[in-house]
Amino acid sequence: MDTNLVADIITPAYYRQVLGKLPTGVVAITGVNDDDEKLGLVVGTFQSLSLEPPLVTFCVDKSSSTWPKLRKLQNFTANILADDQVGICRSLSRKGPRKFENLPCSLGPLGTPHLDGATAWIDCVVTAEVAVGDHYMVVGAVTNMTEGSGDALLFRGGKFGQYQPIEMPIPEEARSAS
Amino acid sequence: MTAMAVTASPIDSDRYRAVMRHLPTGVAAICSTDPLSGARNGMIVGTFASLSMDPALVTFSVTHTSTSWPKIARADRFGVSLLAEGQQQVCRALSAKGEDKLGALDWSESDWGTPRIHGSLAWFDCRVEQQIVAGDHLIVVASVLEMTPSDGTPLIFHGGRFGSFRESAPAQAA
Repeated sequence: MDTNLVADIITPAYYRQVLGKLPTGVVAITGVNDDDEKLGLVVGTFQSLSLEPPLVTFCVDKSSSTWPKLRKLQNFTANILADDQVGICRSLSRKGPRKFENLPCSLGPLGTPHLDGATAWIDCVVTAEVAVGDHYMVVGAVTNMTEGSGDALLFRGGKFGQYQPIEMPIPEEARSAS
Repeated sequence: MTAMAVTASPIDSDRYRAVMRHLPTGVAAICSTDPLSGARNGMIVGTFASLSMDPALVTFSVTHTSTSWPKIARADRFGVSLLAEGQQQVCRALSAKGEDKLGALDWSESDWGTPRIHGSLAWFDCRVEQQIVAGDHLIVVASVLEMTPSDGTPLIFHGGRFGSFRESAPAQAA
């Protein structure tokens, strides 16, 4: 079948290389388990999805050990990380229960951690989860949204970075395109 | 238990937009050639994302009122051009109304028959695998037939504006 052929040509390493061209925001998905233990994972696939009703989406690798625990309570917060929060990525990418050591946070309205210093906190209830290829696609219904301050962290080609404005007027039709 | 909090804070579209402005995104042009008329159709999305490595899949979403997407999806293959800084005119051209949106742009056809916009960071030849309705948008899941990298700095949409990527100091970027 065609799909098998495609899988032979595009190796995971090549996929990573080419998709590394795509700049992404960096978002920490946080929640708690039954024992009120804080859980978190970092994704580069968080996206806006629907205005009415308000929905967001992200993808998580099926091999993630954190997501199966996090999804149990069906609530999560998407913390859009700021450009001085590279350390949080490292902490949350660690294995084991110590991820939240030295990570100041408060609890949001759904009881999920809001990491101090994020540029936005989006509280969600999981409304759909679809297995697609080697990832789960998660759709969250937004129950609460709060703006923080600071500039967003970017990830691109294996490197962290910042947004650099281009000093040029932008016509209205292009602005509404996204 | 949480239902109170849910109903107590309705999120209107202004609020949703204001908060989601904090999320920076790449900018991608989705284009195809109509199999019957030969016309080129295209649109800009800010939601292009990686999805699965094995099999190779990518995803993006489109509003259900989009008039461009149904035209693009008429072809069984479409191309994604990941835009570089300096390609704002591609956004303008593809966001405008009209029949020949690619007319003023430099592009050529890939081996898969999809339009590739010159000067982009990477090109993907894709085939639609699934379309999932989610609220007022459609999630498109597409398999990647071929992907080709190029060089350059990405165009980024953030806070309602276009910009580019500046790498953090090496000490921070370990």
